[in-house]
Amino acid sequence: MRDEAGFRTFVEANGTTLLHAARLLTGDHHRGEDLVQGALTKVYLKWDRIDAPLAYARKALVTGHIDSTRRRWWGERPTEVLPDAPGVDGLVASDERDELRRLLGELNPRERAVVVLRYYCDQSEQDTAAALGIPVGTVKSTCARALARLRVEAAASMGSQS
Amino acid sequence: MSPNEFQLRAALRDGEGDRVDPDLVIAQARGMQQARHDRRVRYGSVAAVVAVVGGIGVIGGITLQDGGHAKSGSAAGAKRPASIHNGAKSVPTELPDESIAPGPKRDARAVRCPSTAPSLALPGGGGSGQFGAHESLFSGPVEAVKVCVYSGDGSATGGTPPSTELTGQNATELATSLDSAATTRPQSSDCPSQTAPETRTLVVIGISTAGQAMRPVVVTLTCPGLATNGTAIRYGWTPPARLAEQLPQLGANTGPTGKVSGSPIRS
Repeated sequence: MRDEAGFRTFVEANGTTLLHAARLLTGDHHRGEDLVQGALTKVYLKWDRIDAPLAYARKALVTGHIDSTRRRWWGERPTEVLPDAPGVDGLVASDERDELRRLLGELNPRERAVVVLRYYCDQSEQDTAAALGIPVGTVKSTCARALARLRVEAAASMGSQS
Repeated sequence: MSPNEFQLRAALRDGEGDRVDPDLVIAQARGMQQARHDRRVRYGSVAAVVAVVGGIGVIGGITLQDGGHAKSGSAAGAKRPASIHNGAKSVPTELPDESIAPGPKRDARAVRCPSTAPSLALPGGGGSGQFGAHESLFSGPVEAVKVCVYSGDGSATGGTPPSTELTGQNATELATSLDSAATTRPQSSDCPSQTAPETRTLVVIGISTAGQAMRPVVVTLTCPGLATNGTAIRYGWTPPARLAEQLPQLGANTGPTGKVSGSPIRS
């Protein structure tokens, strides 16, 4: 029998963080909800067999996000008319925080996952590497590259505004 | 702006606060579980049906194969058969067990001729290239042969067919000549348009060196002459001249007589 009470407690304690992480990863409110829903469903189905549900949920989140960004033969097709690009929660960035969130959306999926796990989920480099299934050195280099891009983009953005 | 770590963390935390409804997650997970269960049951049912049908097919195939061996008159003892039909079903007739079944060592004289010639359904309707068609008509070296002579329809006058036993070199020569006959069906043009109405059917039962009776070889002497043991087939066999003398029952019917049915008799 599955421990539903334990799962509910887990979701109530960590659901908010996971949902926000999913939104940061996808850059979209609704896709973030779908992503966290899928990740928590996986956690529920394996609830009795996993020792560290939060780590499992984070891993499911980032792998689900990276998988969803891969082009599949049955997936998205090129089109002449570009669809509306999702903004950060559909709102125009107006201050520095929103600007950073917008720039985060311009990173590639793995860079975004590293930044979110390191600076939002406060994961160590080892934990981040374990969640993404990549070496620690790759986490370090990816993180440094992502931060550098954010700085450059932010500086350029500020320059264009002034 | 050049964001430091603190600014980045603050920016990332901005806007959090929405909760996740665990009931929604549980409901979705249960739906997925149910769908997965249904899929397993469906695939399991299909697999079970396939397994059952496959099993029935295999058992049926084995049963048919066993029946086919018995029908074609294997060395282990066929108990049915009549005259040779090209691909047609055999008409079961009585064939004495001791005439062909293996048993204690015996000589050709001890082998009884069946009351009617066995009917052997030719594999593939007697066409060339069938599996085993080129094999030897006899399962091994023959020490003796018993030749039973029937009329063209496979029956024997008076119920007991005339027969001849050949032993030693004569037996070997007969078996060799049968095996040496053509393995491909001759062209129909090789036969006269009308053959003699008088035909003969021979049943040649080989006796191995161990004294065991082999599968009977049924030989029809109509054109094209056909010899088969139910698997191997030979065409156009005629007995060696030297042996023909020892097979007086064959008479002059080893080939077309030149007489045309319905034509005036020339004397």
